[in-house]
Amino acid sequence: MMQFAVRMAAGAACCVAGAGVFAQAYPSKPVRIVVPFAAGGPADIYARFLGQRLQEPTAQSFVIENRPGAGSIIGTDLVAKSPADGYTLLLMSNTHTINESLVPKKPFALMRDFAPVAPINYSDLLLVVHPSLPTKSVKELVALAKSKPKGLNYASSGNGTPYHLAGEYFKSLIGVDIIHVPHKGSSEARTSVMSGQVEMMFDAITTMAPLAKAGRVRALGTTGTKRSTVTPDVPTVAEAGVPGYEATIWLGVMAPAKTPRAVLEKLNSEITRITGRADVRKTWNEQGAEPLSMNLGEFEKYLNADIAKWTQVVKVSGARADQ
Amino acid sequence: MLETFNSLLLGFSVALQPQILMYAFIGCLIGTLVGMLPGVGPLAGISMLLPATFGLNPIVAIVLLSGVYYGAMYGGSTTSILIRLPGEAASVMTCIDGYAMTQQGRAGPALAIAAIGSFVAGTLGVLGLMLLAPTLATFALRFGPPEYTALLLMGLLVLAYMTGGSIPKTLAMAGFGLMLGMIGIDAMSGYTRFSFEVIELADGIGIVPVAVGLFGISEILLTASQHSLKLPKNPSLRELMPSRTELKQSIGPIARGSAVGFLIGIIPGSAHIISSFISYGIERRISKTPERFGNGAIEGVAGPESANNAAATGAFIPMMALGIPTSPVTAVMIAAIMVHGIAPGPMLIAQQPELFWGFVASMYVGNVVLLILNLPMVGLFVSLLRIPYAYLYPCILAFCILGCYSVSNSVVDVWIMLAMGGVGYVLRKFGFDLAPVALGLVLAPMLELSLRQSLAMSAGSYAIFIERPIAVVMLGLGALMLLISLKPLLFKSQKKDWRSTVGLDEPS
Repeated sequence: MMQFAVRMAAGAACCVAGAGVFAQAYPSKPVRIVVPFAAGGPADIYARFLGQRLQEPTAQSFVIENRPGAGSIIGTDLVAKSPADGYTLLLMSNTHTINESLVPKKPFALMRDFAPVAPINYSDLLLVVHPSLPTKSVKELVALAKSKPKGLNYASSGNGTPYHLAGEYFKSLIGVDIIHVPHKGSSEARTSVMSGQVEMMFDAITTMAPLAKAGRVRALGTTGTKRSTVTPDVPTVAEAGVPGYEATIWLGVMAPAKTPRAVLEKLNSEITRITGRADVRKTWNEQGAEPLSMNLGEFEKYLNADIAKWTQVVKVSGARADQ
Repeated sequence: MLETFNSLLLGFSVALQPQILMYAFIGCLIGTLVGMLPGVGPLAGISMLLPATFGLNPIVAIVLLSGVYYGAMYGGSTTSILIRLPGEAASVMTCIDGYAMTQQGRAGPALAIAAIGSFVAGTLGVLGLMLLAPTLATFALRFGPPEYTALLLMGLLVLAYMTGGSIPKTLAMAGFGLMLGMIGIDAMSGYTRFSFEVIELADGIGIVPVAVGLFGISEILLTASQHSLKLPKNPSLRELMPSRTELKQSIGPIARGSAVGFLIGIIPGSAHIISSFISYGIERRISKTPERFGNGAIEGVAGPESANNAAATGAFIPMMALGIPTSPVTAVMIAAIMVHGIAPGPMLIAQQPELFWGFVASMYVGNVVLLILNLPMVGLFVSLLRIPYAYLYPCILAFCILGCYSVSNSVVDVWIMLAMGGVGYVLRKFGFDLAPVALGLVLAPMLELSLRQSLAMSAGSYAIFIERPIAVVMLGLGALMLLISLKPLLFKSQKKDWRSTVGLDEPS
């Protein structure tokens, strides 16, 4: 009984003292990070990396839970409906910012139902073509596409994925139609391009770089604003003929909308500390990823800008996935 | 050749280290158990275990996972045979004749032949993988969406041979399956179809909850609704192993199943699921006594079980030659080693020979371990049937719900399973065969996607299907099969088709 009273008092004190005290106590139990993508994918791998590194400073375990399905919507909706206490977090990617305009009819809205926590990293994509295609550069590819509109196909791992929108963005900038051939998953799309069934694709740089080195595909450009550390001899698409082009895959962490500000601050500073480490940068660079570090305000701005960018691309391309 | 042999020796030197051997054993054991858990198939099994391997070294991780993979392929047949509960999609066909054998007190031979068939097919598969990988991988890469479409069309035609029931009933059930397969996000346009605002339905209806519901739950309901229980006969110990005749009957199906499964397995994508359906269709078609199928023909167990194991091995061929995954299962395997900073790619084998050949050798080892593990357990499994239904069936129901839920942590899947159980119960009462539903559900999304991919590639021209040699050959074969199956309908005066002479199986 005595113990109960003490606990009640402590609870009351917490409420009175407000978020400051709460943040010091946070996290007092294991935290769940929901990854709305399949186990083993890049999002899952970086989520686990982050979870492991967060364990040390917070003395709590960060449990990764994979809830894939319906292009990330199932897992994301789960987090949107979870209590906003900082013990359920969402691992997001730009699939989420793309979905804001591509899938308007979904049970949540990113900036309404979630509070930004921190970005993690971004990875470049690699624009590859089958070696049988005569084009040796982005400029030649653009010329070929212009000479036969709708004559070229590009593969993607599915509708609404960053790979798909990277292609749509490319099309909208060069102003030529290239047919989108969606697949069920990256591996099937990759097989199609390697076998020449489909001519070109924007794909994850880590998987495609070794295949390009072995001559299975030809790398024409990377999609970042600067060259990738993985393929320093391959130009960016922007410098090779499509100025202004940028389409990366980036990952970040979000929390349910009403999560206390202090918890968000605490998580942001812990995650930023990890992404700022030199050894983390080195490991990630080897895998083709570049760490991102932003405070809460910067990340929110970044998210809004990204949503706006993809809204524009979706509008121009006519790509839609609503009902 | 000599090089391959040397590499394999290197592989065995890795795979036979006590620590690795232990993990192979653990993997096989977990896999067998996972395979028996209704609903949890190989893919779900290794995906769930994947995070647990992140702390292990890459060789151990891949040996453990391939053990689980193999084990699950073996284990899936056990529940299909004993209680008509498909552990995974590939064992749907095993349910039919395997369970019929159980009801005749021949559960032992069915289990034993499934294990032997799996072992033979698995071992042949690894041999083929080692010797023919580079050649076959080139073949695999020529398999694009148009070829896939042709293959799946052929798969649909197999329907004609799948059941002993009336053709209209079979078609009705296949149509039901195809319609179920239409639910979910359309991969080409991104539109959501028939999801009725249920987000989980946007992902489509999985084969697992449907198969477990249609086959397993409906069986439980049927048994419970009977006044006098028809208990399966308790076999004596001598009856646990297949007889000489049964072994002889199984040689052909095992060989054909291995070959068919292996070839289908090589094709990138998820085609391996249909290997057991096609094997069953072939066995029934060429059998001199097709009326035995559905009533406990051992060929109906031996063929599909061999086919699905050979297909499992075949799926590794593109991965071996190209170093990248081409199917969901191999993708998870590759992920397990990527976590350790090993990049997949065509150079994988050259850069990581221990890893690669250790993995191949561990497949040989795994097959042997599984045979040793499974054959002596046949007796144990069969004695599970001695548990009174009043205790056994509630347990099975609980396991079904548990297994179904754990695949994707989705309650909606559990409801689908239960609903399908009710649907299956009613359909069986009315004498409908349920296997075509499963085949339709598996084929519909794949067929639709590959057809529309082909048409996107050709800018809408159907000529793409006749411009490509592999596709033409398969379409031709399909047309031939269709004609042969139409023959008895067109020439009624001829000797009656067996279909009209055998009635439907009485729902048990």
